[in-house]
Order: sequence, then structure tokens, then C-alpha cells
Amino acid sequence: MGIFDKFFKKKDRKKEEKGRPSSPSLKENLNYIKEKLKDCDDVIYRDLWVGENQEFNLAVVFIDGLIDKALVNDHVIHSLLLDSRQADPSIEKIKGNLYKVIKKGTISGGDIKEVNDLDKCILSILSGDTALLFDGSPDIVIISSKGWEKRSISPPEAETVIRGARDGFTETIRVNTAMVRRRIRDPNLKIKQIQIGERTHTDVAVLYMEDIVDKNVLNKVMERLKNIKIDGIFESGYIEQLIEEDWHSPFPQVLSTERPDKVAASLLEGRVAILTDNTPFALILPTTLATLFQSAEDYYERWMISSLLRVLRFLAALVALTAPAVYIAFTAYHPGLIPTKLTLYVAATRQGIPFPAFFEALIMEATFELLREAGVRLPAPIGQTIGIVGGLIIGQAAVQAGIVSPLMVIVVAVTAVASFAIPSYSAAIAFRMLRFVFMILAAIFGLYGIMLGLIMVLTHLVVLKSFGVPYLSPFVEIHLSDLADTLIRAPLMYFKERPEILNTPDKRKMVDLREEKIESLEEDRRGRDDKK
Amino acid sequence: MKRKTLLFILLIFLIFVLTGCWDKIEIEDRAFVMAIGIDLSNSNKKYVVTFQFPNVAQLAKGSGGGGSGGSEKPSFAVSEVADTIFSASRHISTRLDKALYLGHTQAIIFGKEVVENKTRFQEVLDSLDRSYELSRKVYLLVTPGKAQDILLKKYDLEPNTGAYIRDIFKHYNLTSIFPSVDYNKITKSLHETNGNAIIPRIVAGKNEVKIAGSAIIKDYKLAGWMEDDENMGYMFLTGLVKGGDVTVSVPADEEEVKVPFNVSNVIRRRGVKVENGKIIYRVKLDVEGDVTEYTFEKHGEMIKGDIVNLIERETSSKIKSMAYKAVNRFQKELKVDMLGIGDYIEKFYPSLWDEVGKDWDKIFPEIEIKVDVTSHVRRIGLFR
Repeated sequence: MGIFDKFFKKKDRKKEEKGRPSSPSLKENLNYIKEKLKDCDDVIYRDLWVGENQEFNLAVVFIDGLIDKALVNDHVIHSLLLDSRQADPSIEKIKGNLYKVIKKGTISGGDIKEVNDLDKCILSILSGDTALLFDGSPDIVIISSKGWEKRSISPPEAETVIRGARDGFTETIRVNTAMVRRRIRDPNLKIKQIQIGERTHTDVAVLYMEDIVDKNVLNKVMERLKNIKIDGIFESGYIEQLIEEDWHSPFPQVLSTERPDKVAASLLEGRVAILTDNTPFALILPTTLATLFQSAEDYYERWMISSLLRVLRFLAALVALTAPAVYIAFTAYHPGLIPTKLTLYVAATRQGIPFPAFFEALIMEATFELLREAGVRLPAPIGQTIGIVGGLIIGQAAVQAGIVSPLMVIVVAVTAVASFAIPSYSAAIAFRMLRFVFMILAAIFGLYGIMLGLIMVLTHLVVLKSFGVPYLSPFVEIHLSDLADTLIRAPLMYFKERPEILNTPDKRKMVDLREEKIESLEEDRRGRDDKK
Repeated sequence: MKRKTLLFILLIFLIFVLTGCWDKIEIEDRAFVMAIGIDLSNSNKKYVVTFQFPNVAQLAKGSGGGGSGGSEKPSFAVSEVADTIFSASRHISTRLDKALYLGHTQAIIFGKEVVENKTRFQEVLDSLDRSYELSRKVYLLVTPGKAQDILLKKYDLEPNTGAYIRDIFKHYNLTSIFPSVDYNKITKSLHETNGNAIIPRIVAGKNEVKIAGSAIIKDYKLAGWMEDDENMGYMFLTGLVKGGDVTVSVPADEEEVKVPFNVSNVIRRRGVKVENGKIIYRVKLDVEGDVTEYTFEKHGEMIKGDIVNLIERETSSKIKSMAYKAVNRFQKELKVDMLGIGDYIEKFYPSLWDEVGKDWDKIFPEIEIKVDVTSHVRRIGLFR
């Protein structure tokens, strides 16, 4: 019963709010807007008298700081006040359709639309447009005049590459969509824009390739986006968490990136990208575990080094996940599994250390996390100091004081470095978090605990899905051609088809020209033979 | 629904509380026994078990470089007298601050009395078989004296006797005068042949140990010792030789010259024939090696074929004589098939084995064993 009640209540709440239609009276409209935007001192109302005898009343409303001043002055106010006088239309002609004349003949701004809903008009004003209201006409002209101070394009800080494009997304969605558009000049690149957030009305753009994307995935994305009812969206992280399949999972089911080239490449693979205003982070979905280990550079460098790095990253993930746990299990439960000399060395270095291996590991891992967190929050120059103080001084001092063994410091250091080798930051967080679970399991069950943990994580990953695509995809439902881009990055020659897991209508990615040449040659010969 | 989930979570947490941790011992609280010595007390009724383990604290100082070191003992050895090996390993804990851990034990040394007494030896083997910590790669050794005497001493070369013994085994192929067999092979042989095995021999020196020759165990009892030559012959016959040297004398102008033949590869081929009701076992050995030193009147004499041929012939006959020594020992003296002939017949001539397998012990001394050796000098060394 309760569940059904909840459902129906939700449906009731979904009722569309109707906006207020505008009236023909300028005064009335202005009053409504002024009432709504009361105490908003950044709103500017500009009354205009236009016409030879100044018989027409107009008003321009915009928000200072959000608009491009030059555009509003030169192409709206200037046009209305001065340029309109040079033409000499008979007043009688104009009187009836002043609105049309001005819209078509006077305003020289580029992007214009009309509304006759005052609430919509206010929303446009709030997003940086300029509203032009007429006396005697309910139609309001909205002139797109967005122009505010924005950060210039800078290299993506979280995803730097040696070889590859240096531009990263900025906080302005228009700039970001342009960056993707510049990379894919294809009419099939669709950018669908919606607004999410009942108060913030944040622009969210859904990007996809019309003829490549799997429509089921696209529909799912659109549906889930539309179902978001929240007061505000400030970062794509909000959207990510609200549309992902399983929010219990520590693993990110959506890939976030600040690299436009990565977004463009994903679109061509048949994925959907979501750009959000006010954040440089774009979302790419569906995402599988393997994509979290891919870096843009993998495809720009030669395949051998890329493959090696891929393998290295997967190993790094395993190390980041289990290294301290294995240390605990080996030293506390299974000293017989370590080489004899190493056993004696470990026993020797742990001589006189007051903590059991588990607490030793916990202290060091917690210290490391502490240092990392402190380093992130601090400005860059001080952050480095923290690194030195933490890494060198605390590590060295702890060993000399006999609180932790030198081997533990090495294990922690290796774990830390390994966790940074995972390209996706949010995936690295997952592994870092689970590491503590593994440490506890190892402290209680030894190696059995680690195996148990691995089985549990694996079970979870197998069940997990990202927009209908299994999270462990090329591994769980084997597509041989997809495996070429997972643990290794095969030569580009092998990427003739788009990933099969994404179920794209257009499968062909590349044609091997040499093969085609051979085929055409053979056809030619066959043709000649037939003639003979 | 919710209740069930809660119950499930509770059950999972119960696992953590109820199990786990029970066999957890921190690594620094363990004593890593590197070598075990097993002797019998004077009345042959009780065991004297000696455990040797390195002083880990001293090791840390050595590796850290900071400590003074030297003054402390590099390793400890403690003995316990008890009725069984197990009770010895338990009772010793009343005198130690650490828990004994046998997972890294490298060597187990039996005193002579243990292998001379059949029931005692069987008891010891049983307790080793049952130990879950002991690795199957442990080296078993027999000493003509007391095992305790070897383990209570500290050797300058390597105070950790277990590691010392293991390192000696590592380069057995430089000499091939002791069999490189570990616990796994020895117990397998003991169980399969009902008490027959070859166990390497260890002798205590003044400041070192020496592993050479071997003890022959027949029916869980010491039957005799094999000296170096015999031992090498045995190893040639069983295909264990991976290297080693055979010294031959070559007549020269005035005196005969000793020439070492360094074995580098041995290929063994075997066959069984039955002629007039008699089983003939043939072993053909192809021995390859190099001549590493020699002094002749003139440099370059080696290059002449005759001398090389002579050395090859001499080597062959030397190896042959070593092999026959071993054959005589096993076939004529001990009447024990430890050359793997019965095993070979069982595997490759099953129909013949059906006939002879039942009383192989009686048939074995009667069969004919033929050894053919061909040696090849592959390299004759360098001139300077």
C-alpha cells in the first residue's frame, strides 16, 4: 500500500505549472516583472520612447553583468533610438504591427526569439538574455545577449597528457559544446539541451551521434535526466549520482572527463556525453570498468607502449587494492609463503614494533590519506611542503622511532603510487576505499579474507550495469573484437568496428584501405577474365 | 524485507566475531626453525630433538648497520628430551619466548641411532608426514654421529645451519657425490618400496659441515654407507648426475698425467630384454663433458685426436667401474633394488612385470645389469 501511495503522490506533484501569459499593456507586464524581481538590484530597466514623435513606449530589461554590454547598446538600444529614425515609415502602417517591424527591421542582434509568457521571459532575463517589451503587444522579444566574464580555455588539470590536445573544458557550456563541435563536423552530432534544477535552471546538454548511438541507451539517459527534480545542479557530479544505476556501489558508473578529445572519441564509439553548465567536467556513458583504465594518450602513442601501460595500470589497481592486505596476511598468518630470507628480514625489521601488522598498516595508510587530503586542500606551494614533511620526515621518523617497520613504509608508498596510476580519479577513489576493507578482512581471515573480498568485489562488479551495459563488459560477455581495447591496446588496424557491447547501428569504424585495394584489384582481374 | 536484510548483515558480522584470528601470530613472535636435529637418548627410549633458529634481532642490527652486533649470538639452538617428536615441539615452548614455526625449515638431520632403529625411524617419519607446517622441500640428512653435535655448533661461514645446508645442496651438481634428494623424494621412495631409500650424509667438521656420500636405508633401517665413488655410480645409474668431475690418468712421456673430465651432460637410455629366462637390464650412458686442465710436454697435443680418444676411453671405463661398484653393492651385497629397475619394468614392460613383480625382491639379485658408457670430450679448454 505504502509504495503505491508514494507513486501516486509523485505523479500528482508532476503537474505542470502554467506560466503567466503576458498582457498587451507594457505597464502591466513591467509591473509583474518588477514585482517578481523585487530587491534584485542588478536588474536594469530601460524605458524607451521610439518614433518620430516618440509615441511608442518600449522597455528593455536585462541583468547587469550577465549581458554583453556592447551588444545591447549597439544593436538594441542604439538601433531602436537612432537607426529607426532614419527610416521613414508612415506611422499608420506601423501602428498595428510595431512589434513585427521592430523585430524584423530594427534589432540587429543575431539570436532573437519571442515569448508571450512572463515567467519564461523572466527566466530568459535571469540567464543573461535581454527582454524587449512593447506597449500594445503581448509579444516579448528576447535577444540573446549572454556575455559574462569567463575563464579562458586552459589545459585539463586532472588529466594531463604528454602527447595530445591541451585544451580542457571550461565552466561555460557553450564554449564546451563548441569544443566538441570543432572536433566532429558532422550533422549527425546532436546537442540536445535541457534545463535541470527547479531553481538553478542549469543548462545540461546531451551529446550523441544520431546514427551511431544505441537509441535504447539514449532514451534511458533522456528519461532519467527528465526525472531529476532537484532545486539545484552545481556540478556534473549531481547528475552522475542521480542517474547512475546503483548508488550503493563504490565504483563510478559514469566516466567524468575534462578532455574534449575524449568526449569526441567516446561519441564516435557510440556513447552519450552530458555537458553541464558551470563545470568543466563532462559525463560519458555507458561506462565499463575497462574504460576507466583508458587514457586519451593510449590512442595517440604507439600501441606497444600503450598496451604495456594498460597492463601496468591493471596491475596498479590490484596493488592499490590489496598490497597492505597481503602484507598483513603474509606476516600474521602465512609466513611460510614468503621466501625464507625475506621472512627473516621482515621478522627482523618488525622486531620491537609495538603494534600488530594490521594496526601498523592502518596507521600508515591513514597517515597517507591524511597527507593526501591535506595536500589537496592547501595551495600548490604549501602542498608540496606537506608532501615532503609527510613522505620523508614522518616516514623516516616513524621507522627510526620504531613505531612502524621500514617494509610497511615501502608497502604504503607503493600502494600510494599505484593508486595514482589509475587514470580515472573516481575509480582510484573506489580502489583506495576498498583497500581498507581488504585490510580488515586480511587481519581477520588472512589470505582467505583477501580471496573472499576479491570474490565479493567481483560479484558486485559482475552484477553492476551502466545504462544497460554490464560493467565488466568485454570480459563477461565475450566479444573478441572488444577485447582488443581492454587489457591491451591493439594496433589501430584492429579497430575496424565500434565496440560491440554498445550495440551501435553503424558498426564500421574504419576500412583497411590495403584490403580494399586488394579486393578491387581482384575484382578487376575477374572482370578482365570474364571478358576474355 | 528490511528485517531480513538486517538479520543477514548481523549474521555476516557474526562470522567476524566467531571465527578468524585464531591462528594469528605476528611474524616477530615466531621462531623460524631453520634446522631440526633428531637423536635418541642414551637408553634409546626418548628422543632428543634440537631446534635451531636464527637470532632475528641480531639480524636486524646487521641489516640496519646502526647496532654494534657481534656480541650477540647469531642463532640459537635448543634441545628437548621427550617421548615423541610432537611433545618435544610442544614442551619446548615452556622455555621459549616465541612460537616455533617449521614452515621455513631447511634441513632435518637424523642421528645414526635413529636410522638404526626401525620402529623409532618409522615413528619419526610418521610425525614428519603429519606435520602441516613442514615444507616438502626440506632436506633430510643422516649423520654418522649425533645430530645435536652439528646443530649446537656455530659455523663461521654461515651461523644459520639450515641455510648453510640448503646452500650446499644448491651446488650439488659441481660434484655429484651426494644425492640431491629432498624430503619429498625420500618419503616417496620409502613408501613405494616399503622402506628403501638413499639419504645424503652429513659429517661435522671443525668449523664447517661436509655433505658427501649417503646412507642406504633398507626396510626402514640403516643398511650401510656409500662413499663418493659408489655414490656417483649410483647417481649415474639413476640419472641424477647433472655435473661433476671424473679424474682419469693418461700415460705421458715420463709420468702419467691426471686429467679432470668435467661432466656437462648425461643422456641415459635403458632397455630390458629377456634371454633364456634371464632378465637383462641395459643402461647406456652418453656422457658429454670438457677437459679443463692438463699438462703435457707440448702445448697443443690435446688437439690430436688420439689423446682425446684416450681420455674418452679412460673416462668411460672409470664411470663404468663406478657404476658397477654401485651395482655390486645393491645387487649382490644388499639385494635391494634401489636403482629403479623394478619401477622401470613396471612402467615400460607391464606384461613382464606381471610375471616377476610378485617376487621381484628374489629375482632382482639374479638379473643381469649391463652398463655401457660412451664419453665425448666436447671442449678441450683454452691455451694462454
